[in-house]
Amino acid sequence: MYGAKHEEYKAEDVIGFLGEHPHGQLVFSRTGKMQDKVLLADTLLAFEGVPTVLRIGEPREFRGKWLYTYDVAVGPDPSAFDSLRIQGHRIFTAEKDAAYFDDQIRRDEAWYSKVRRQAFWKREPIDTTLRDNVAYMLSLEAGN
Amino acid sequence: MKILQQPYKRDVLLIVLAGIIARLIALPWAQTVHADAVSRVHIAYEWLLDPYYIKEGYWGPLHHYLNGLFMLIFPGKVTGPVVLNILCASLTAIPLYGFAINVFNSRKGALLASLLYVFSPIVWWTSLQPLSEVSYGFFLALSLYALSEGTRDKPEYRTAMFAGFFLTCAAAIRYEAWVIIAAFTLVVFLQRSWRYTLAFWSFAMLFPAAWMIGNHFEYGDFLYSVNQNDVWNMGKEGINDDVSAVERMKRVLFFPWSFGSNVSPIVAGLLAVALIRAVIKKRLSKDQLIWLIPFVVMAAVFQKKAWDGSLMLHHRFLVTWLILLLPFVPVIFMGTKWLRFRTVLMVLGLISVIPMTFLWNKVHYTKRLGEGVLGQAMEELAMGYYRELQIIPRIEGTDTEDLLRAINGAGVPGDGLMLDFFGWDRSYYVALHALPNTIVMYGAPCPTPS
Repeated sequence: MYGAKHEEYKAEDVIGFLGEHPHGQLVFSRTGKMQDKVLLADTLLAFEGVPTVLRIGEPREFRGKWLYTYDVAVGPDPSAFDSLRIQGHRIFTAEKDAAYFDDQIRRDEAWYSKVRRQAFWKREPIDTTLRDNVAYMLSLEAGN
Repeated sequence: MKILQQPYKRDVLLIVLAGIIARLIALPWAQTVHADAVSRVHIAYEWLLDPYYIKEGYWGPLHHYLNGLFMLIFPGKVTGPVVLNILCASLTAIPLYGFAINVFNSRKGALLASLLYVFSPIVWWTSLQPLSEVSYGFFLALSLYALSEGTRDKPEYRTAMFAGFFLTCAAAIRYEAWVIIAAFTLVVFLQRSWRYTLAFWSFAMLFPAAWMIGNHFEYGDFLYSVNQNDVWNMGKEGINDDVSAVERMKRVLFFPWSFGSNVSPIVAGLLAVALIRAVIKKRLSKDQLIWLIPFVVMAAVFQKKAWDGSLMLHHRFLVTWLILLLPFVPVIFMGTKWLRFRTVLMVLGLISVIPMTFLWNKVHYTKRLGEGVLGQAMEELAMGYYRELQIIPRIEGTDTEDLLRAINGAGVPGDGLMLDFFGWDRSYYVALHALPNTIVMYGAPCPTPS
């Protein structure tokens, strides 16, 4: 199946991919779903249901997208994810920060269009309007 | 063939040339942003590495063959398929013009119909990236034109076979053409002999028959491709899970609104009024009236499928409406009353189409139409479905390009790239241009050549 239709996370896809490519790069999105499937401990990263642990490099941020390099660090170990669960943490904070809302607005076509319209009528650069919208969302979040 | 006579020949050549030149000027700014386009590029690239006869599957195979062929001619993954689309979009002017001349004998109408098609926003947008609509539209228009050649008294079986062949090509690209086979068959049956109808139908059914047999043997389902679409849209994507009154209104309004946005509300309004008046006042000949059947059938199918959620709301699907309805533009020029005024309005409509697309997403619809279902539906349509009206497909901001540069700068051959899904356009744009061996998690499985 091809084209713009969502597939679910499948651990076997990740296992197969890492088996074929033990080195490479990973991109995580601040609003993406992959953050729910990985745990991080220092420089080690594990995927849910995947018996392989990766060693990752320092991330580089590209506006809501984090780029890591990876190498397979530990060979197959069925309890890899569970052992990382003890000391590991989520890749991003659970708190919805500015990066989260910036990414959220920009990937939502309708929301971003509204920001674009707002910028047009206010006669200001779209990034300024976007920043104001992010600040507004953060204030709402702080109120909750 | 009237179209080979002057001044018709000069008209179409100028339109085709204008369509190609305008697109070539826009090409440096265009990016392949649609996930379907990226998937189509990768399928064609894989196919080109090891060509074979595709006998079953989800998407019709002809677009993959054509993309592969153009990849052979033009280096790289994207240039060839985009050149194919630029040619198809511009060359469609010829059969559209020819049909309008054959059926209505109106040079002014034929000229405006083909200009409206070639320069409509959605034809621009789909022709600047490897999507399938404009190549399908080209074959559909060729079939339409071929069927308008010859007369009832002097049927040329050769044109029936050509028309069937062109339609089977359209059917091998997009499934809308399968329904159109039935509509065109009815048209031909009402206009010509049963022998002519049989000749047309036999050729038109070549691909659907072969494809259904292939899918039956592979998946046990003759209509696997069509049924699979419903499984994904309604099952996995869950587009019918929560259908509010606003959502229903959006589904009702989408394609008529899209037509208005793509040919201008002025042209859409004039065409609707002119057609209704012509039908009521019996100004159309029997043959002209019969040619309305395919549009009426397809409009009904689109509205019904949009209503029940089995047809997604994409402007690019409108190509079918444009091909089947724009040849009726000459009806606007029937009669002599207010003719100059109608002509001025039509020209205004034509030149306003592209500038107006930059305004549709600036209007506050809920302020203008109220907070009711209609206002909310229009607000959501204009805000949420604007991307395809942007004329030149392009990702906003520089962060995706920056990310891509960093990935390609650090990667070495054999490396893998795992992308979290961060929106269809951005994720698949990176997947298209990054080093090979890419997987997009939570996206659609997309074959990336290694």
